[in-house]
Amino acid sequence: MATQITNHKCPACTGPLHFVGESGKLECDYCGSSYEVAEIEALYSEKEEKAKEAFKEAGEDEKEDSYEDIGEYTLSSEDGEGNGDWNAERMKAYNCPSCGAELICDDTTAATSCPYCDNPTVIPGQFDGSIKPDYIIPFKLDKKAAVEALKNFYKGKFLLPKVFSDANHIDEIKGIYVPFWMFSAETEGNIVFNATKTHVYRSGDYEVTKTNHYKVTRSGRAFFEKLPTDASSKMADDYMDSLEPFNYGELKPFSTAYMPGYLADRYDVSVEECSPRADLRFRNSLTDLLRDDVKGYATVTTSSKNIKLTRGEVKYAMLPVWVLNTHWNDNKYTFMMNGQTGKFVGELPIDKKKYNILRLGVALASTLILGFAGVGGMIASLIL
Amino acid sequence: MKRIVLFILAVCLVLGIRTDTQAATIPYVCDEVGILSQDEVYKLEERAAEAAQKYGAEIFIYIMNDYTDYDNDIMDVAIDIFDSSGCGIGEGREGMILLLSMSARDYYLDVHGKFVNKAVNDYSINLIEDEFLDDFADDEWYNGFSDYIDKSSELLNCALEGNPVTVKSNPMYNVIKWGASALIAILIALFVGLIFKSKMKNVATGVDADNYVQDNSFDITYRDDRFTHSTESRRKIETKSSSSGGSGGHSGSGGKF
Repeated sequence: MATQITNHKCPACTGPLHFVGESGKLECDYCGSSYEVAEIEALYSEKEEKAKEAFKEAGEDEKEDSYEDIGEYTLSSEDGEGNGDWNAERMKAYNCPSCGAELICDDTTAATSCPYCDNPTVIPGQFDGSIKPDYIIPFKLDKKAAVEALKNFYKGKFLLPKVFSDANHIDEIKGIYVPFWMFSAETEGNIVFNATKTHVYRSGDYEVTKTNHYKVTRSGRAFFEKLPTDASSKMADDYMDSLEPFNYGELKPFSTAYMPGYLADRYDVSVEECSPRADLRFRNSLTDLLRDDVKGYATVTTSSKNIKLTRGEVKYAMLPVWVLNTHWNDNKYTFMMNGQTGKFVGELPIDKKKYNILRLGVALASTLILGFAGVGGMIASLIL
Repeated sequence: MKRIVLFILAVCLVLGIRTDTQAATIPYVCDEVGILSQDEVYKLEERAAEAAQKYGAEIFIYIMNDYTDYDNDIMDVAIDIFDSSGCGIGEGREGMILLLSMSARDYYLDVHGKFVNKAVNDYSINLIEDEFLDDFADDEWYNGFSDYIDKSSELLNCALEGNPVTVKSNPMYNVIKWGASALIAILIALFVGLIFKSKMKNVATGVDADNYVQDNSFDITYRDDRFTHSTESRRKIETKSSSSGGSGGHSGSGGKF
């Protein structure tokens, strides 16, 4: 059976090639030669076609050779997670063209590296036909930048346990091309607000507050394009949203040549499943844009909203994300960095003792300041 | 206004209540309405005279039928009576007057002079009011006026000894002062804690698509701002102490009894 995967190898020395964001080229790990993406694309196009054919045939064969469900496995993976989610029917087996080792991957894996010979491998069949991505943003920042960003993320965090930052155990750093759906839409809306203006004046022995009430209507429309929502169930939506925005100026037509050295998955969350999130964000933005046009009032509240959303095209893109996993006190901590802009997101552990000392210290200091400054005395005078 | 004061003086003179120690042209107790008996007036006068001797400050009681016959504001009437009658001892005209207007049950307690303002301040004036208001509520006029003179004397005595009764004399003052400070401090500490905590996580679900609006594609197609109605609320501005109390001028407090 023809191999379903390709290793992008150096034409000079057959060493493994990987994509370097800084130079925008594919570089050889052994001899250091570098090649333009288009050059390698042309070289491997025939191989990829053959790999896709083999992938298709294997898919047909698999229907006949489908694994029977042999029950739930409870496996402990390296990071201690044991779950019954692994289903043998969702796994696929490939042979590494470099060393012949068998690779077992998720059925959505599109790029990985051989755990035996470490050669980067791409499964072109995952990007064939209707599931071929439209765009890719190549990695611009390398692993070193991701580690540096993590160190910077620790800085200035008073509540971070010292042991956590000192130990600095990064269990795993992965560069992943994450599949995204990019939604475009036209929104048109009409919103009615209740607004007030207030005027206070004195009349004899009375203080009079006069409030004028208004009905404010705003109608408008806006076009949105390429709102990204992640199409992988393995990536947390809030993390992916937090990595935005990506710079679309560097969006390129999709090519597997950008993938060597990185991991990638194809989508497993459909457009239909992602679209409610996109719809909500479009509506919220139009509401905010119309609300921002209501000026000069003391208070503004929404009375009624009528928003029409005309869904446009959806593009499929692979966007670069560095994922870093660490672990401390039996808890796993995941951090992510936008592989293009360097935006770093994550959640750090809190040192409870420091947190309590901080609050106690602030409370004591504030009590003394407020007491001696007379604020407490003023309140006592008012009450007594 | 002067005609009114002269009339008042005449009434008080007719009632024959004066003592030789008075500098004012009105007696210490002036009852136009007749709610006190002669004997009660005499007793109250004696005690007021004693206080004047002892503390160098005069304590007056004035009872009239309706203050609106003289002015719109009871505070102004009380001040006018005090000033026009030459009330108060010494250059600073140290003294105080409790004016009762019986028709609508209004009262005003006015104090004048640096020493008296120190003794009868924003806090201690309420202590005097507490003493006589519960008696007046039951129409116990003599008891009420008696309590007024007694309490005023007590406050003047404390001020004379160098320990004027202020809000700080209240045993609950320090408790409330530090308790309130601590409560506000706890809120501040919780808020500061939350700010520090928020820096530990910068992950949040996207709620808008502001970064994805196509250039120049946002367009307002219709605007309408329409006035519908207006509403009004009124708050009476309290006529409590005047601000000149601290410099030895008039200050006071009034209300209904």
